[in-house]
Amino acid sequence: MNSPNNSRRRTGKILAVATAVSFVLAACSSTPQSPEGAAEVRSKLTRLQSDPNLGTRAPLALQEAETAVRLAEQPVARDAALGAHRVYMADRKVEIAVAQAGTRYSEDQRAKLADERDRARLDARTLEADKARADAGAARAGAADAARMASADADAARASAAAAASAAAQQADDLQRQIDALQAKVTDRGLVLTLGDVLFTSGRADLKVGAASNLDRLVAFLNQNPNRNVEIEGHTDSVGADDYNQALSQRRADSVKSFLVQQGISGARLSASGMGEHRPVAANESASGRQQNRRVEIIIGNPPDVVTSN
Amino acid sequence: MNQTIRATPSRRPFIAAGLMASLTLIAACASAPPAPVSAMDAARVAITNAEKAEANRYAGAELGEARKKLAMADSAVRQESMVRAEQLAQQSRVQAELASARTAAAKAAEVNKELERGADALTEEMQRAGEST
Repeated sequence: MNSPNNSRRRTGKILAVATAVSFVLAACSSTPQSPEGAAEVRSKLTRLQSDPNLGTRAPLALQEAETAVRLAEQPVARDAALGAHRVYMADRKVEIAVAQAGTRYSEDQRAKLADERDRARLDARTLEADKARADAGAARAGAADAARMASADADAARASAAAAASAAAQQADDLQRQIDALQAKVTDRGLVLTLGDVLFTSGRADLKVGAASNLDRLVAFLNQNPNRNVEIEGHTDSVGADDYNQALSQRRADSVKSFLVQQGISGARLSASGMGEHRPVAANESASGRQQNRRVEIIIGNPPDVVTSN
Repeated sequence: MNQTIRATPSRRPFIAAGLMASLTLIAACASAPPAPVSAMDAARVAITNAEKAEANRYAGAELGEARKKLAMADSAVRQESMVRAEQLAQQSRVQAELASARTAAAKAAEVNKELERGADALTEEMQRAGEST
């Protein structure tokens, strides 16, 4: 009778020790530790943030990357797949921010390149004018001083008129290029820019990252054209109640407006309104149609005395 | 309730069996979560957008990986591991967005290179014109 009792007690002790050991092991393994790869993503993000050319050029994408990296750094207990997933997402978001900042950088460089080209063109004109003057001088070597000077002046005048015309054409070119970059449609109301493309999740009003590069370009455009005002119209799909969609579309428009204000555009130039679900651009029956209907339209007004070329 | 408990003993096994059956049903429902439809749709849309932006030409590897992740998400759905499927769909989407972003960056750089070349040509032409005088 005694021996089975004893052995049961021994088993109990062994069990207790085993439990204690496993607790200790569990405690060790659960000390907060970021998933593998999180540190690399963090340092990649830091490098981008401190890059003098890229660090400030994609604010929205950077913000999303920051959020994703912070999530990836959270220790995950026992779910290694979740940790790896978060690291993957964070890494790609950082890369997206890098690419968007690079795009913006190229676009900003382009303005500088255009200036350089203008200068080169102007130099060419000056050279031509000089040459013309020299030719005129040689041809009329024997003629009276007065006549020679008059012809030189005429040449110079012609040259400067040509330079002015080319500058005006250049300006029109620049505007056209900016409009092309915005991918805006020219209508009688002004330029209409549709921020479609997965900008909003159903039922949400906060901007998604795809919006950033378009909005960054819009900010650049508005900075270059300070005499243009902007109407922002929010639209929704037909999912949900009418009132709700009305309010949601207003919030979407407001969300774009507050982004623009954040980027330094004066609030006085911006008006935001919600149109609800009443102006769909695609059928609400399909997911992709609804996605196109969840959008914000930005109408960039014509400046008070616009000179339309072409 | 009281009446059920006071039921004749012969009925109790039936009640127990009924309870077991309903529990099993509930458990079955809980273990088959719905497929991550909206995440998969979003991934598909992101891939289509990247294709429209000519990511094939400028960011082929990224676009390829996005497609691969979407295929993996599809097969995870077939194996009913929905959590994994959702993760893969999200990865596919973010990868497709990266393909688009890199495509835009490559195009912008290309335009600049073209402009630079134009400016260089102009300068060169100018110098030649200067020399010929």
